[in-house]
Amino acid sequence: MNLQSQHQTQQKVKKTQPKTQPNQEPSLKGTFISVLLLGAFIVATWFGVFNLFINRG
Amino acid sequence: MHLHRYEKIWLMLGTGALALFIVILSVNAFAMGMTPPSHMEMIDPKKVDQTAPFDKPGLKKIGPNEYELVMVSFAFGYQPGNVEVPKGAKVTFITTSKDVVHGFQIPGTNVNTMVLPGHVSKITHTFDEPGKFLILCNEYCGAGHQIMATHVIVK
Repeated sequence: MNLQSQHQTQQKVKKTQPKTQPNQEPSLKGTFISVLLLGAFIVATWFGVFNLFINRG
Repeated sequence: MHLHRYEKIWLMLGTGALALFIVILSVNAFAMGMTPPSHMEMIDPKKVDQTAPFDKPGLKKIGPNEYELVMVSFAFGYQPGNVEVPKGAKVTFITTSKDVVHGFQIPGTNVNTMVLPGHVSKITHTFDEPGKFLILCNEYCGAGHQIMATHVIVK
């Protein structure tokens, strides 16, 4: 394959690529709230068990 | 690598929580001496009766209202049994097993350790309230496991 035909194929590939919209992020609001709830649960149970350990000592 | 703003926040919170847990546990362990029961000391399980301090099991006063209680665990009991200590006593239990794996637990307290043959288990507890505290075996050790128990009487 010579250099010219290689260049042509690259242009072809560029043309067939789907158009992407830049700077559009997925909304992660629901995920964020779920993660915070799970985190709060883990922290609360951790301190619950830790408190039990301290009070029994 | 591109990260969503929310992803950055929850990764920071998660890492922060882990760091907080480790700091609290480290302060507890290294500054306040709240470590798990020791299994660091070794002993020949066949010669428990001849090895100090287990050749003379019992309660020993080591300071003002501070005691060491050397106990031998065996199938199915503890020697000595029914020990009396005054209220507020800080008791360090030192125990080992002559035969199989036993448990050593005082329900409602942090005293809970495995007693392995060949290892010495140490655990300290301060008895602030008077009462009769049950010591029981919580590792199945044989046909008489359910009768393996004794008491600490705090007066």
